[in-house]
Amino acid sequence: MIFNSVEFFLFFSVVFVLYYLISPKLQWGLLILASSFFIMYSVPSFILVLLVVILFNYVTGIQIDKAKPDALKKQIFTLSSVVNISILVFYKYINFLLENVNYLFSTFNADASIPMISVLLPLGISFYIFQVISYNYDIYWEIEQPERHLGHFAAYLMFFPKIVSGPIERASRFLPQIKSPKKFDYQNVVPGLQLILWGLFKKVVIADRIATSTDLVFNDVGNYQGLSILIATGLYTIQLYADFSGYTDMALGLARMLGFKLTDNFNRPFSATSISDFWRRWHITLSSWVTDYIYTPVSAEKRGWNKWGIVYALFLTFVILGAWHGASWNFIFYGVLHTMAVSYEFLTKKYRKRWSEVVPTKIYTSISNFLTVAYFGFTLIFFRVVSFDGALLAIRKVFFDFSLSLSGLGLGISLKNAIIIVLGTIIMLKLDKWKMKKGGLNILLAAQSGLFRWLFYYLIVFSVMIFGVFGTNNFIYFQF
Amino acid sequence: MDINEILKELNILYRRVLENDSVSLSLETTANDVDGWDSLNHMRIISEIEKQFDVKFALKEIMRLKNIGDVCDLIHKKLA
Repeated sequence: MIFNSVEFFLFFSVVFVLYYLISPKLQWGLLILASSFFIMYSVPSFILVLLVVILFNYVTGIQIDKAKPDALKKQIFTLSSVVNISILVFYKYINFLLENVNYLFSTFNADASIPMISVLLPLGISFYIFQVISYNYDIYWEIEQPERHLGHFAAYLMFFPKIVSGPIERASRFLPQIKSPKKFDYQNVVPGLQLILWGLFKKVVIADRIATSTDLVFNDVGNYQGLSILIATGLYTIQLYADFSGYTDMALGLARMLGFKLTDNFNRPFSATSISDFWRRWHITLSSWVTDYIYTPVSAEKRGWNKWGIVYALFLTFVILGAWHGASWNFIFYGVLHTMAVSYEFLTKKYRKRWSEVVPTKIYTSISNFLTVAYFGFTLIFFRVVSFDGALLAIRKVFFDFSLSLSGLGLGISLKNAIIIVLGTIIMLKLDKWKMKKGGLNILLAAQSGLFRWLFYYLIVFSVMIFGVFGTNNFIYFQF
Repeated sequence: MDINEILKELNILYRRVLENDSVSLSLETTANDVDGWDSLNHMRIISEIEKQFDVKFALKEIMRLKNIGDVCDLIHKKLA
């Protein structure tokens, strides 16, 4: 049930009305029921995995806190991490691991032929497993207290606006919110609706329209020339942002309508002037998670290695961040490419600082910004093309099979589509920039005249109705 | 060594490691307030502190540091 579907609209309307009709003391119960229905709507058995994860971590959280001496604390914490990671590895990576084991044996002329296991990836598992890992970490580090109300803890992990694709919300930010009763309040409902509308615009007008062209090219790289691939790469960069930030806006909007404030995942990523800067602006709840729970502990552990300790920690962090997206060498390599960029930036900081003092600021910033976005787009080739060979072929084509002829690009974009994509993208990037500067879409819109606000609503609603592409496309991040 | 002396020494150390003479620390200062004190430089600073004050921090202690006040308290506790 995706957010931009009729089923979801009906589902949410019912939940919304009931939520404000029942006693606020029971709201968490309704959220659990609604979330269970939402999860079971795709594959009913998915709920079982989630229930096991909830019960297990509810117990470990309390036990880590209670345990004495510290050695026992550590044992329970380690056990919880091992179990949580094993669950994720089993559902997400088992066949990838088996495939590679088989391959390794075959290179030694041994035949392992371990058969693949048929497993479905449970809805949202990459997101909720990360949330329970950090939950146990925070209790182990004595930064947070464990949650003792099982219902509240379950609602934290199940909360349907964020179950499928995040944001990866920290327990310390979510749990206090579920403890306060929610009354119907226009100050929540209106900003929520605005965000949902805005997210819908990004998804159906921009992302899904671009998807038609990028799917053509990236599903059959061999049949396209370098220029087509280059344009498709640029378009895919915009598509991914429109798709995932559109999803996130809708998730935040839905949560807000129910009285919750979730963490935004984006802060003008295309204004970044380095890849390190980029990762503070792109998929923020994932990048801050890997910073706090992988990078910082590893770099602390290896601080004796000085700067090589940092590079080592960066490598582990980005490889895991890459692999988090899926079980394939492409995603791992995507992580390696980002390790290389961030390590380069870290090791050449002094040298680059000297350059920045010589070159006029505006020029230096513009060049850095262009290089950052271009490099990110380049890494997305490995993110989007399914096979490693396919990704390499795409890159070879950009360099060695390049023709400036515009005929036969084969992107399937009509002039009308091109205009909608360009205008839509400009509106999206401008508005997101203002939104972040002002501290929120509702604050930005409240500062405008009533006429402007209504014009904006009409523009968005009519664009969605007239130019929206409906029906076929799931959100990209649903597969992770 | 009292907290104020530790703070003074830390200020000199931060200026040296971050190569930034405008750093001015108070007990409430956090990483967000200091230019260049990011996650990439954080562990360099921590290991410089350990060398200078001849102390050793546990991972748990490092993870709990929220501001300069926490850093001073931790050093103070280790030296006591």
